[in-house]
Amino acid sequence: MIRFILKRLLYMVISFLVVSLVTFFLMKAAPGSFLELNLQVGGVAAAASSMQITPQLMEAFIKQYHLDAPWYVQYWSYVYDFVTLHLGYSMEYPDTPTLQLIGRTFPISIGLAVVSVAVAVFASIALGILAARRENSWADSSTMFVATLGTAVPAYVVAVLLALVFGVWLRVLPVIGFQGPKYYVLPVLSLAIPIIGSLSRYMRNSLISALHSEYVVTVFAKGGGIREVIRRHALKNSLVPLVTVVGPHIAGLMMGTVLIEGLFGLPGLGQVFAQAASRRDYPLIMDSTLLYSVVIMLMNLLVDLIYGVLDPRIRKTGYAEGR
Amino acid sequence: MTALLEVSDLKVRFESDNAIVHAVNGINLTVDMGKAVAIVGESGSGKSTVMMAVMRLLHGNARVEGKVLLEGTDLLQLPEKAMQKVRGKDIAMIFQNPSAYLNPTKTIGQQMIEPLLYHHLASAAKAREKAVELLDRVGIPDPEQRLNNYPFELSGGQLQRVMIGMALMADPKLLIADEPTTALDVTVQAEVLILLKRLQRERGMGMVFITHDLAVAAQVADEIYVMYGGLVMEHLAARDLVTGHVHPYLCGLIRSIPRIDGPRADLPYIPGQPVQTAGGLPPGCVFADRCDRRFDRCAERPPLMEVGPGHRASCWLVEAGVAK
Repeated sequence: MIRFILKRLLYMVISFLVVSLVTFFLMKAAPGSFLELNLQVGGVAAAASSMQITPQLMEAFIKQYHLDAPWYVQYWSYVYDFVTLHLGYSMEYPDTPTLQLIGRTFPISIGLAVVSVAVAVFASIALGILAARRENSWADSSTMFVATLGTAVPAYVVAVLLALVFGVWLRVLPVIGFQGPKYYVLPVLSLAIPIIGSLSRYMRNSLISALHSEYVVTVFAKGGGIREVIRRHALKNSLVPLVTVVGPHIAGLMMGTVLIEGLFGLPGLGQVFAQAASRRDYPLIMDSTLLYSVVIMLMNLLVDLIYGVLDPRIRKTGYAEGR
Repeated sequence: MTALLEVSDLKVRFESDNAIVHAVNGINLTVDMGKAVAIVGESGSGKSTVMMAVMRLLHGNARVEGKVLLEGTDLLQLPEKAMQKVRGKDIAMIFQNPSAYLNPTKTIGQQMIEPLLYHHLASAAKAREKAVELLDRVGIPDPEQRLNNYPFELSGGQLQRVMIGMALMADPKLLIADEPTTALDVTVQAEVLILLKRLQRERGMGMVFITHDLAVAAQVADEIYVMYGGLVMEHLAARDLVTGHVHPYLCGLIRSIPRIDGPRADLPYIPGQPVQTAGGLPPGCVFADRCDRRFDRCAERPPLMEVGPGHRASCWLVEAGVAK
């Protein structure tokens, strides 16, 4: 168990370095830089005058961000600053420390993601049980038909549809801004509904195969009913395959928040990230990407640990190597 | 002697999209209080289906007809709720492959106490005490520790002992054992058989033992029912099995058991394939097309006919008086 976690942490360090390198080079390869975008034409002096600062300050600015240093020095300063939490200031927000900026926006994004996953997982389990208990009945097939629709429609279409119905026609929920939990409802639904679509199908199939397994016959033979079978036996066992598919969804969800935050005007990190990317705000691009990658890796580790909670064979005989 | 279980004219059909399988075609079977009965047959003879029908554990596509009287109550007429109260309490059942029939993610203890919890017979703590006691009885060393183990941490033989202990939790009147030793290796098989037989005697419990192994049946049971094609071919006392059998099918089965002191010759076998129960049965005797003593009478299906006291066979040879 300890060895498994240590090993996974080592993998995470390696993935972290790969992600940071790839991000760094992609970022550098993108045409234009922060200075150029502010200027249209190159030149330190011109940039300085367009930003209404002295050329001396501009030089200092370049020094501060190591823009004249070789690539490995630049790269390493980003990574080192991120790891040691010396994030400093970004180019786009010279008045707000990046740490503070992230501190303000990140909770909104992670909250959106976590609440969406939680809603999606619980709704999928409920729908899966509903359908599996009535295998091949009309209740089963209609639930699964709706679920298929949910999978087929992407999050942004769901978002627009929800905003139209609940925000514009019914006027019951706010569609833009963030001033309390009410503002979370539509974004969470937009992210959760497509996930519910695929997860509930998984849940149904996995529960049905659990219900067809032989130990269920034993439970009936002991005098249990369908309630005991599901609650005490089949449900827990059917969650293992479900957990497998939740992991990849989390990564997708983090990207989904970028889009959905933009659509609903939530002041989350996703928006900051998207803006940083288009403005070539190098430090902020690096910092937010690295933060996202760490969060996704931690969530996947958490998902893997849940396997052990659900299945004693994994817990007691060691986690699968290098999943 | 009073009958504990009385199955009369039991028929089971499985309806699927392309065929109707006639798995059980009118079985009569009686288990007396405190007696052990064995049902012997090859794969597809319907032997397990009979007992799954008694427990009403067959899938939704099964159509069951007939009567299953447990101490006079027809189980087939009970509502599902009432049947749940019978399962695990009055009738318990153990299965062929204990590692598949135990939930891999729950401890032995959690699973063993369930019969008592479902029937509200004891608290969880009291049930655990009883589980420890029973594990000890079925020969599991260190029972308190074993309760906290998961099925994958025990061997197949130990798991079958656990299954037996679990079945006895609510002190059932009848124990159904569906090929309980088939998945075990031979030495363990013998131990489990002896254990089952001992527990059955001690507790005065009725037992139905389903097996494809005639030797095992003779060892465990007082009476033997030989099934073929969903019908009883012969019903006789276990002590008469070797010397008293009359049906050509049973003769063929017994001939094909190798003798330890016999000559090294090719083993006799019954030619042909087992009768197909999908679609419908042949109109005459179900065994006729594989029978070496077939005659014109066999075009009609023979009823079970009295051979002697407690001995019946479904063969026209009995009527003709030339059996054996």
